[in-house]
Amino acid sequence: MRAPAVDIASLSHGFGAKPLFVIDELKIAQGERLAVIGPSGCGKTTLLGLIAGLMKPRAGRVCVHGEDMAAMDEAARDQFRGAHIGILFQRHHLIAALTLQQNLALAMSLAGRPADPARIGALLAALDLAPLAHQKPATLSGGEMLRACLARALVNRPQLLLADEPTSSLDDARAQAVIALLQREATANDATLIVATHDARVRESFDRVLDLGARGGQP
Amino acid sequence: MNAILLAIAQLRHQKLQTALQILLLALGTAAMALMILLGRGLERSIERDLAGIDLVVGAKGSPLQLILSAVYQIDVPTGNISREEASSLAADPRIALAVPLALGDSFRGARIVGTTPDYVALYGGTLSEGTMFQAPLEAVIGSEVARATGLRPGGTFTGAHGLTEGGGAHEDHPYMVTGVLAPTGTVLDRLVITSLESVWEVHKGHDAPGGYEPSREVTALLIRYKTPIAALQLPRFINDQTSMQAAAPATEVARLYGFLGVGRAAFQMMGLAFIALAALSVFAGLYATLDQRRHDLAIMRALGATRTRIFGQVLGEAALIGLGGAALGLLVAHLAATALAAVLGLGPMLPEGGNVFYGEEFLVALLALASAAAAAILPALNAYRMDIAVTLQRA
Repeated sequence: MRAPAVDIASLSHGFGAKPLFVIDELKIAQGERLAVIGPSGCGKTTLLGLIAGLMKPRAGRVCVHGEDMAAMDEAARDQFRGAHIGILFQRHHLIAALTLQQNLALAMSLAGRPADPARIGALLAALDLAPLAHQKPATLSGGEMLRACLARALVNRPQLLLADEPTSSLDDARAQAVIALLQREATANDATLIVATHDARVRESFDRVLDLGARGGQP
Repeated sequence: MNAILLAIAQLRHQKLQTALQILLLALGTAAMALMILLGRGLERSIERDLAGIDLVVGAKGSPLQLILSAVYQIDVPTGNISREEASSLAADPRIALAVPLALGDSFRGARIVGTTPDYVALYGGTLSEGTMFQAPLEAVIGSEVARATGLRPGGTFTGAHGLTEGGGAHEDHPYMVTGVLAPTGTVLDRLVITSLESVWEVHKGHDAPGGYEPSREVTALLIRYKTPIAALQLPRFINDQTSMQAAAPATEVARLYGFLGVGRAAFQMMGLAFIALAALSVFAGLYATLDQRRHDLAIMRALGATRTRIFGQVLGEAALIGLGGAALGLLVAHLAATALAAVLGLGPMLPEGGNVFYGEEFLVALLALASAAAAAILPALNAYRMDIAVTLQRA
């Protein structure tokens, strides 16, 4: 039996005396799609950050592909994240000094892979960004920026794809298109997909929903 | 996309700021490197013109003036000494070589030096064309004089009284050029060399009726010792027992370096100030842009960059600025040295122009590089310590 992509046990985290959320146990299988929902401030982004190893939990354990993220030393955690986890941040931000293509090449290089122009070209083409490959981020529209950030999150074919509020500023049609894109790319790469959202429109597209707000983090 | 390409892209993204920082560093590096080029060029030129001369004997007065006038031909002589006294000294067994000089006239700013062929040999001078002077009023000219005046063997010229332009001409005693000396990179290149007899001949009419005979005098004797003991005995003997003055070029040149050193130190301090200013500008620039780039660096961490990589990235950008400033500064210094030698007539001081590289310049370049890198340490540490989760959430 395959080890779960994400294995969370006795996880408690928060920024004050009272924990923001507590998750006794959560196992997410490889290839599974999970929506993390709840109102603003309930800890969705924080949970994604803990899974990505961007922060250490106050208590409990988060394992990704069998690796305890908090137990790794920081450099190893950074490298593990780069190699195995793709993240679409809530704020769509690319490095301003680099072109779209260079941003993707940098993501490959930081993950310890040689830049693969064919992979970058194919990904940009799939996301309708090929004509913008040599443009700098300042020239991109909001939608183009979102797709570009998605391309960067996918470029290393991550086994775990985390997306933070990918549809928050989009109309229905665009929100559905983005979710469909995420699902399609996750399927193509056999990746586990975890999306943090407060957008009720997207829940139906996921295998499972974790409501951090309603149940204090219990799935 | 490796770290260097990323650093170059980042610097190109802030073109104006990067250009200003590089320019400031280049100014400091250029000022310091130019001082090295001028100082070392001057030292080499001074050493070359010394040509192994141990002692200069002339009329009493300022010893530095005597050295400057008799060896470097850049000051007025302290006076003349009698030929007999000079000849008697030249016969001293402790002296290996004594070359007499008779000064007083010039041709278009080039000094006419009455001497013996030993003077030419002292500087390793050879003829590029023509023959050495033989008879009175025959002369050979240095390469610079030939270039400036266009004179060639067979040509004639008239000396003017005094060591600078504007003196009365000795129209009745024209010289004939018998040869042109090949370039030596020494004082020889800037002189007209003739026999002692020529100078005496030209000045014969100036002898006073009362018996004073400048036509029987020499201006100085350039001496090489035969034995080291001469260095201890001869200067004291000449200064105490004769009406002449003995000056050791090594001592006077050391004094000269002392005078020049003040100006040189001032320029070097100015260069250091420029470099410090540039380092401060690199610091301010990196610190300010780091705030704007905080999210870039946090994203890089999220994409797999370690803290060390981020620290190195910020430091690397500053090092590139340092490298650019140092390289541009050295280039500017060498171009300036070439221009100074060619245009402003500093050729004698910079015989190689900018086509020579001294080890100290490498140290100056290293200083510029290190200053830029040092200025980046604090911003780089800030980037190193950054909490990525907090930075990404704040954005």
